[in-house]
Amino acid sequence: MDLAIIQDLLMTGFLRGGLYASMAVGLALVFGVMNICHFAHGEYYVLGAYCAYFAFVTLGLNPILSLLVASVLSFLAGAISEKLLFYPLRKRSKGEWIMNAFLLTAGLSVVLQNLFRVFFGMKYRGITQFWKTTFHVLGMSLPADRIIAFFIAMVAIAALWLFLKKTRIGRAIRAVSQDENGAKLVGINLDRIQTLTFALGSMLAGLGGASMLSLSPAYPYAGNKPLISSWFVVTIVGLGNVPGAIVGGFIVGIFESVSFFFLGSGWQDVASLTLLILLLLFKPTGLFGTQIKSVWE
Amino acid sequence: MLEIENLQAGYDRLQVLWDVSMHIREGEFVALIGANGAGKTTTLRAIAGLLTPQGGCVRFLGENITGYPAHRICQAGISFITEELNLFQAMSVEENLLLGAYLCRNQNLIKTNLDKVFSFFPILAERRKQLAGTLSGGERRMLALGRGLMSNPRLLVVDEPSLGLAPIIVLTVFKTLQELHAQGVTLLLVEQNVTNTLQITDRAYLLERGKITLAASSKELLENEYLKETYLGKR
Amino acid sequence: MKKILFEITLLVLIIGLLLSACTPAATPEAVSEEVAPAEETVEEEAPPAEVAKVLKVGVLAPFTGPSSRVGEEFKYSVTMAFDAIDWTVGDYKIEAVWIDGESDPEKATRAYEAAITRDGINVGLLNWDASEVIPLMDLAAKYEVPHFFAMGTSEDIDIKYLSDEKYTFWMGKGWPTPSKLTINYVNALEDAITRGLWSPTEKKVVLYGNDDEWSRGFTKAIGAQLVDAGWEIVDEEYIPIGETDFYPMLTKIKSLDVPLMAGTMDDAAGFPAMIKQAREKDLKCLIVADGLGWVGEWYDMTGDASDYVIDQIPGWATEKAVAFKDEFTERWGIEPSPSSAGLAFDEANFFIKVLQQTYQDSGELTSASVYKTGKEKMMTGELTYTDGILMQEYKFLPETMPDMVVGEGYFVFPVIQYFGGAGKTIWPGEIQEQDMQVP
Repeated sequence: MDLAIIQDLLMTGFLRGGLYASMAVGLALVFGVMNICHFAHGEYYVLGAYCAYFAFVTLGLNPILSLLVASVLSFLAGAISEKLLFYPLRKRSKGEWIMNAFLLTAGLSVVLQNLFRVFFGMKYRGITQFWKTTFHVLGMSLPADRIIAFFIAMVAIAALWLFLKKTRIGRAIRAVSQDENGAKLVGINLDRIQTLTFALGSMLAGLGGASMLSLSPAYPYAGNKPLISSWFVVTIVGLGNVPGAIVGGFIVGIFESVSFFFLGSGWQDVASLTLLILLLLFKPTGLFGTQIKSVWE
Repeated sequence: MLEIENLQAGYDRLQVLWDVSMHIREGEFVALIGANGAGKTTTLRAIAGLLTPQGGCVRFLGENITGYPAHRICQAGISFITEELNLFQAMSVEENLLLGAYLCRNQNLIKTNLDKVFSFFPILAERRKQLAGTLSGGERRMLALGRGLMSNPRLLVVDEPSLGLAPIIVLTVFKTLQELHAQGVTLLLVEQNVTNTLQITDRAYLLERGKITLAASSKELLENEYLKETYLGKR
Repeated sequence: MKKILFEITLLVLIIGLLLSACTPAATPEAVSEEVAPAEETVEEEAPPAEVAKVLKVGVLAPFTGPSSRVGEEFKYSVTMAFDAIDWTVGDYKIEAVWIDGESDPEKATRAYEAAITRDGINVGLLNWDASEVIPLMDLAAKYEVPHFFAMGTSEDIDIKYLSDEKYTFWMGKGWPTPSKLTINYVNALEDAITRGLWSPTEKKVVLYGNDDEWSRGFTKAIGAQLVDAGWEIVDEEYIPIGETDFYPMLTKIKSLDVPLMAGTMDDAAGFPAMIKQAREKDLKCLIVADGLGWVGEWYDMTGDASDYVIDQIPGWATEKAVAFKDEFTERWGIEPSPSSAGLAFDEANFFIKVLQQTYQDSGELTSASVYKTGKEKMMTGELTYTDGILMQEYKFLPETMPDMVVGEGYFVFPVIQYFGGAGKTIWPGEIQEQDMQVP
């Protein structure tokens, strides 16, 4: 088999995996720290895409600024929705939190989709590209948008890593994910950490949606596909495991790209789901699942 | 320093504590003893804010802290070391200790406290890069104590520190508590190991079925007939 | 404070839910009509004068889901058509019941059956997704509710239609069978080859589409015709709806090094993404992309990557059509696409004409009377529609059923090639604007 094709496949899978990873990291973080099975994650992706579109097209800002606007706004949206919805719910539900929170996200997803629809209409807001350049990597020409989106995802993940590992607040987030009572007893304000975590997760999703604007336009239901893919990733690697989600993103990206090449014709879903079933059969905790609960260690 | 008046607490509709009143003065070493299920842990959880009291009043350093969330009680200066320790298992010993000083933003002070803890528990210094989840039972308890001390607490509340430990390690733990006390830390200790406890503490309260039934100095309690019969056992 | 916050949240949620309930699924007319079937029986037996005469038309479209843009355009077009007659035919009031198919056969079937039994629709109109048609044909036959101009189309639907007399309740499709339209692509391509405009090294083609009934029907049709014209199909690729990253597929197609890829997608977000990525991946082949122009904003997304892409789409050719387009844009704030909004508008008007004819003939509008007129007048070619904005004449003939007459003067889509976002007609020769060009 042609070396160039293998190279091409890996590169393709890598680019694809980058987005999966950044979406899945947000999911893993939110689950790991807050125990929320987040099914409205895709809507924050869409929100980011809308923000970037309006910033870039309507306001005519430069691409980097547009992406910044999108991440700040999705961060805020995440914080607001946490304070307005999940915080009161947490105060009210005790043992049933996981189920209640899941139902809330599922409902929130429908509400947000319809709000998008009411406010923005059933219009596809897409752009041709942010950057007009094309990069040449290993003899392949790749559009700047893909490469930059990939790097933005990587930078965002790296920044998150630094934040979680090196800062006091980041350490507190990890502490909450490992032992809530322990965290409370050392003086960590759980409510703030939860709001921050949800906002960070939403920001990652929003940044993903924004940087991929040239690939998939913003429209009310655009969040479904990335949601499903990122859930697929976190299910494979084990819920609430951030480094697992990153590796998993790339595994799934490359797996899909390769399985598409060899199977194609609508079989790639079968391949992915088979992988999932086999994994769950032989390692129910997921590829990187451990007994100790932690978001990123 | 800590005054508890008519504390009522429980879980949902099940009330566990009835009119518990007690007090601790600065520098004292006080024990709360009682049988399994008497409500000792519940009392501590209510003090530390892990459980919202249903009635009564908890005052600390003159401030009414009844119903405060746990993180604010920690801020007020009470450090609670739970029975299950609540360590951050996937973090290193050092990170656990640093989190103990979460509320402190003074790097120098953190450094001093860290050194203090390491001098108390040299084993922790040896294992500083090791994950908390991989420590032995005794080491974990020391780590929990160390983490509790990192916040420079005015009052250290310790729940069942001897639980599940080998007798020799229990002795070490008790010795450590004594040492802490000697250094001026105010302590509230809950223990089932009544004899040992009464030997190192100044005063003690006996909790039975959610009520305080006895309160006296530890020396007196060691001689108390009722206590001898029911808790100390006839040797 | 917390309580207030919570209440506000609750309010927002409720408003959100209300909005979502109002927007696509059900109009006020459609709700609170649980007694409708009872009313209907009364009407049939002895219509008392005091009961307002109502004909309920169930308009089926994907109001939510990936193709919801089409649903939206359908709804607006139908509304405009019926607004023009003030929702009245004779002394009958027309009520629309919007049925959301969600591009999901199972949900569409359930929604359609509920519309018949609960909302009591008398007649069905339109549809978009081919995948939902087969079970719906059975529903129409079972409840004897005639359904007009469903656009979902495939060979299987035709076979089923012809298999049993009862399927005549599926009153004629709003979109002809793919093969009747795809042949134009093959003709256009072959014409270009014979005229020396294009000289592909080998006659090899890759077919592509979404993984659904419509795309597979399309590729099957064009595939067979291409094979007849001497082409070899080297690969077929089907992508799930919602996917927007086509690099894996394009890598594969590129490695096959073919001069032509032909297919369609009904995913309005994915299709432009595919075209753009094909250029990014530097594919040299000619692309037949049937339906790329179905959604107005496609060019914002593809940019000039769509140059040389071949499509088949009617334009707003007449003055009347342009007027419709402008009115639509002004009234609804989105740009209509000829193939969904335009076609739906014409077919809604054709449907109105059938209703008017029915009323004129029998003086009543019921499932049975509309079915009768449809069968006796429309399917025979006696009743046609010539005031459309897209086609010269919409006409059914017994031999073409369930399709309309396709071809010059009737239902015809010109083959176009895009340059700078504008389609230039390259086929048929009579209306050709320019020759086909090769990238």
